[in-house]
Amino acid sequence: MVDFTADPARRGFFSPQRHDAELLDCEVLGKLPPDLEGTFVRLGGEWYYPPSRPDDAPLHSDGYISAFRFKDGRVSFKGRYVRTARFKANLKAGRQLFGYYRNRFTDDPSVRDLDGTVSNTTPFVHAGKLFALKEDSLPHEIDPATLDTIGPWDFHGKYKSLTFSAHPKVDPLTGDMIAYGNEATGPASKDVFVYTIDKAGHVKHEARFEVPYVSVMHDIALTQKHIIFPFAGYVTSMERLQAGKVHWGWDRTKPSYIGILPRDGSGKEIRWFKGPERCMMHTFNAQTIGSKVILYAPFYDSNFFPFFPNVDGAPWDPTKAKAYVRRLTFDLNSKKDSWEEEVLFPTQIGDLGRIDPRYLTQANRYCYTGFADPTRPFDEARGGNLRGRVTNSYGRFDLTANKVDRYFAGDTHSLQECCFIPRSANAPEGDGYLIGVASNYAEMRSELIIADAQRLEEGDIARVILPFRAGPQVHGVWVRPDEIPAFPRAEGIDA
Amino acid sequence: MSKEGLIGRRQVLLGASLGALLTATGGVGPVQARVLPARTASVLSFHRDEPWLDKSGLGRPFHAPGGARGGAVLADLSDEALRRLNCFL
Repeated sequence: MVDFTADPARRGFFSPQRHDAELLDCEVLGKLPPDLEGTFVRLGGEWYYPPSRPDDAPLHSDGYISAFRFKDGRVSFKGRYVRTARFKANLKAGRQLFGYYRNRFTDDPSVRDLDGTVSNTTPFVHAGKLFALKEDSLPHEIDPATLDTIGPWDFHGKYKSLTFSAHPKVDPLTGDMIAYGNEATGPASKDVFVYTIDKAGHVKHEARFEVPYVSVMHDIALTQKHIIFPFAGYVTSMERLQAGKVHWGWDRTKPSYIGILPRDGSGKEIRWFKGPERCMMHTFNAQTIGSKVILYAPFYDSNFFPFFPNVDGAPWDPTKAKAYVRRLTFDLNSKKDSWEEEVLFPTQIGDLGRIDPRYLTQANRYCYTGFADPTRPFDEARGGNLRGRVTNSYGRFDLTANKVDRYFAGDTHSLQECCFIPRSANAPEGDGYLIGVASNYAEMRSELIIADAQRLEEGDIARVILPFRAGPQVHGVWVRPDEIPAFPRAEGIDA
Repeated sequence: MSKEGLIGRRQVLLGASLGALLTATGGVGPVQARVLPARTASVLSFHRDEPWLDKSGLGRPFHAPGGARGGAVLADLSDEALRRLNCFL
C-alpha cells in the first residue's frame, strides 16, 4: 500500500502526484511569440513510492521528464516518469526497495545488482537523441515522440565509464560534446574518465585521471582550449557506504580543487589548483585568454545540501549556503596552485545558472539565474507565508555594465530554473526569451512563464497554464526543431 | 491570549455598521436583539484591501478556495526542513 502520510510536509504543494500527464492545446494567458517554435524539456524528481529513509535526499526521487511543445502558436504538455530499472522494480514490488541516496549497501538485497539510478537531473540533446541524465549511471535515452524510456546508452560501446555526468557541454562551434564520468570505475573510486564525442555521436577522444579526493564533481566548464573540473567539500568512502550512510558528507576541512585539462590532452596533463571552502556545483561559462583561464560560476560559500550532513556532526548552517556570481582567474604561466576569486554582484542567488548556449566557450555578457528577492511581496493569505524563502525572481546579470535586470513572478509564486532562448539563430546575445516554470501556491498549479529577456522588468509576455502541478524540476533545456523536430507528437493536432 | 479574546477588524466593522444602522432606524433595543445574537447578517471584512462579504453571517475570516494555500504547510518548516524537501525552491 502506498502511504505518504508519515511526512506531513508532503501534503502541501509538493505532495506527490504520481501520474503521467498529457494536456493538448494548453490555456495561455497573454500572447505567445509567433517565432517561438521548439520544445522546452524539463527533468526532475518525484517520489513514486515514499523513500525508505525519511531523511533521504530529494535528489534520490524518481526521474520525471516533461515537455512543453511550442508549434503553430499553440502549446501542448506531456510528462512521464522515466522508466528506469529501479522504477520498474519498485512498481513490481509495490514498495520502495532502495535505501539511501547512492548507497547500494542500504538497498533491498533483491535489487543490489540492478542499475539504481533515478535519472532525474538533466534533459540533454546530442546527435539527434534525447537523454535523461543522472551522474551515477549512463544516460537514459528517451523517445522524443512519446517520452517513453528506451534505456541506457553507451555510445556504441565506446564510452567506458560506469557513470556519465549530468552536465556534459556541447561546443557550439564544432558540435562536439565533452562528457565525463566521476567515480568512473565504481562508488568511491577516484577515477574520472573524460570523452569527446563528435556531433554524430561517436567517441573520438578519451582521457583518464584521478582526483585528489573523491567528491561531487557535478559540473564542468569548457573553453576553446581547456576543460575545467571543479569540486569541493563533499566526501565519501567505502567505509562510509558500508556504515549505511548517505553517499556524501560535507568535510569543511577539505580544500576546494579545480583541475584544468587541455581539451585534447591526456589525463597526465591535468593541473590542479587549490582554494578555500566552497560548494562548487554549477558553472556559467569560461574562456581561455592567452595564458589566463577565466571561469564564471555561481558557487556557494559552503554546504548547500542539508541532507548531506557535516562529517564533524555540526548542524547544517543555512547562513553559509549562499551563492554569488563569481569570477575565478587562473594564470597558467604562474607556478602558484591557487586562483583569484571575485564576487561580481552582492545579490545572493540560486546556483542554477544559465547563459545563451551559443556563447559557451566564448566571451559572453549575460548570465541568468533565479534568486529570492525579500523586498517583493508574498501573499500569505493565498499562498502560505513563504516570503523571502523561495526563488521569486529571475535576474539577468550584465557582466559588462555590472547591472542586474529583474523579473518578478508574482506574490504567490516561486520559480524553477530558467532557460534562455535566442530569438533567432543570428540574434545578438541577449535578444530572446527567458522561460521557466513557476509554482503558484495559491492555485496549486504550475505556470510556464515566457518573458522578453531584454525587458524583464516589464514582466512576462505570456503564461502557459497547467491546471495541476508540473512537479519539481532540476534542469531544463530548449530544443530547436533542427535538433529534434518539435515533439512529442500530439494526437489530434499533428497529422 | 487566544484569538477569540481579541477584537479584530471584523468586530470593529460590525460595530460601526450596527451603529450606523441604529442611527438610521432610530431604535436600539429591537434592532440589537435581532442582529447580534443570531448574527444572520452578512459580515464585511477585507482581504488584500478588497472587501470580502461573508454571507453566512457567522463572521468567518477569508480563506482562499479549497486546495489553495499550497505553501501553508511548507511555511511551518525550518529552512533546513524546507531544503530537505525541495532544495531548488
